[in-house]
Amino acid sequence: MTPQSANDKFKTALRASASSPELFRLARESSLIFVRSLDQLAEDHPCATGRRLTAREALDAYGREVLLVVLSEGSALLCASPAAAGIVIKRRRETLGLDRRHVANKAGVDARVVEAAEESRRLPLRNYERIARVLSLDERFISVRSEPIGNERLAVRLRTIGEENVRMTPSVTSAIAEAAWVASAQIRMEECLGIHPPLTEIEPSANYGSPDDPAYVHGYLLAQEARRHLKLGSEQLPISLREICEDRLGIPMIQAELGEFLAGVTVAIGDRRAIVLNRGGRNSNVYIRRSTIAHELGHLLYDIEARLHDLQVDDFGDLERSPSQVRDPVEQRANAFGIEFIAPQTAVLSCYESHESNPIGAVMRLFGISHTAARNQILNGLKENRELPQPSPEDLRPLYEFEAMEAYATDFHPIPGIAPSRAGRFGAVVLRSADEKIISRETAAEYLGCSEETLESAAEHVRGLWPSVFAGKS
Amino acid sequence: MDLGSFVAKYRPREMARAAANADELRLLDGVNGVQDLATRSAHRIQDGRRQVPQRSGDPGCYLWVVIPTRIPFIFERETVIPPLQSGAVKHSNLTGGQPASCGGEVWFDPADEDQIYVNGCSGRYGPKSSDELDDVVAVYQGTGYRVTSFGWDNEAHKPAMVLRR
Repeated sequence: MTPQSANDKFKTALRASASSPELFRLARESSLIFVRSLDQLAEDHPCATGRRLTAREALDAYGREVLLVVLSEGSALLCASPAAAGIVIKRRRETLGLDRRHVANKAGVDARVVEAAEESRRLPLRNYERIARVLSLDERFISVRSEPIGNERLAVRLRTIGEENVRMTPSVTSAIAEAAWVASAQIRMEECLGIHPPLTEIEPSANYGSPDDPAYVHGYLLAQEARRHLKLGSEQLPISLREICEDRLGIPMIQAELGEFLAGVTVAIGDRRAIVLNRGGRNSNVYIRRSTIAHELGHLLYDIEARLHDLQVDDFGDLERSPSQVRDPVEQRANAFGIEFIAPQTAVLSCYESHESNPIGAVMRLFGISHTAARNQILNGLKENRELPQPSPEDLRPLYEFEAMEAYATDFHPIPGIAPSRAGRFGAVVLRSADEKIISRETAAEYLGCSEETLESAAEHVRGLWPSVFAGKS
Repeated sequence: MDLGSFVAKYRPREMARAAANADELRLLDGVNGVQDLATRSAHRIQDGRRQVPQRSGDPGCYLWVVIPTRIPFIFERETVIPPLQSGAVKHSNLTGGQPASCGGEVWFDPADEDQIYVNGCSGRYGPKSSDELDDVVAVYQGTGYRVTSFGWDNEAHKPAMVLRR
């Protein structure tokens, strides 16, 4: 089919009120490009400086009626009211408790630009989009809707937690908000691509134990059950937590800088959930980071809805404690889940007992866990409190293979300078979405913070790094 | 710039898209409420039709086109007898489907008779560049009006549809 006939077919289907699946299919085949400004959507023009959108992207965001008006009139009004953009941005910034200077810094714009945006002044759409993403707003609806679209309940919860927890600094709050935007966009694009989270038979468990039946025991049992469901067995060691979360469970895992104290966060994105993982603090040690991911996985897989808040924040304090020493049964169970999931007790004991010299170091190296975690798991398995040999200084330095396994391409991404929050699976999903005209190359480059040329030169490398994202590509 | 200079610079062009029905080509005249913006003196704006707009199509909207000797304009929601099939007046009802140099929307300020608000929002005759919009605004200013233009939307390369600071 020639590009022209594909475009004509799409236009005809639009006018004929074709069914949505058919319309979306034809939009993907079409090479029509639209251009968006703060106020309107128009047919593309070489002189237009706004955001270029594919037909699928425009249809997805603004719907059939708007596209029909563009095709008949040349452009269509998107703006809900002249003040809508500013009202939404200001309201969300205040909900998050951030000041303008901080938002400006994170968005890479001048503070006066944020102020002008809050007054809904005529500014380049890209400035509005960058500010929106920092605030976890869906940038496609800036000026189009008078109410904040995107992660509103999360924003309220971030503010509430921020008021109670001094560790939730503005930097941490905005990092979580931005990471939630990344997760939302990733989920949205994956849905458009037909990549759905795999169905598992894992059911949440309301059993958090009782005084005679500690929660950590249930955490161990649930970890064993999860390993069975995921067909990990006790032989498959070590495991990549990143791969299990993203590829096998469809849980977006976003890496972010969350300061010194927070280990990780789980956030609700519609009916899905994502993990925001701190790259800094004690998580800069990959062994600790793996424990954090496994702990968060314990929450996401097994906590019941009533326990799973829109935002769950875990700090390092409890994470490295032996499960039995953690008071909160929810956290105690997640801790036990985490260690048993990464390092099943029977396998740990087997490793420990089969190494006469430096057995604790052998456990750490085999399972990719910290000295504290290894020690707790060995003592729990031995069911006695004894002095264990100290690991060598070399053992305390994590093996590089675990860093490569979990950080994957974050530190050596083919796109130079890409933000860590966008350097994971998100980048591959963005590229495939651009390949399949779910989004334009321009949007893709903007999402990844690079030029279209840089995206093109990195494309093959990105495809090679995330084969699971490109498997079954149409 | 006066009307003659404008029309000489921007020659009348055919409608950018065809009429959706025969009624869109019905030429309306003074009997239907069409007036001429090129001659300032005799404009009659009914009570309640003077509004300050925010967006294209807002209440109080009048449509205008530039043809060689006149700038006919009409209230977009004018009651036309017999009623128009589309339910509202189109720019083509000011030309009968014939070429025009430019087109758009205009509002008359409720508190200031000299103040009007103008944009180039016409799917059929809208200006093709910011220069063309500026020039037509200059024509209006030449008739004695103080003109607030919606301006040009560089991002869409279209006349702006929203009045912003």
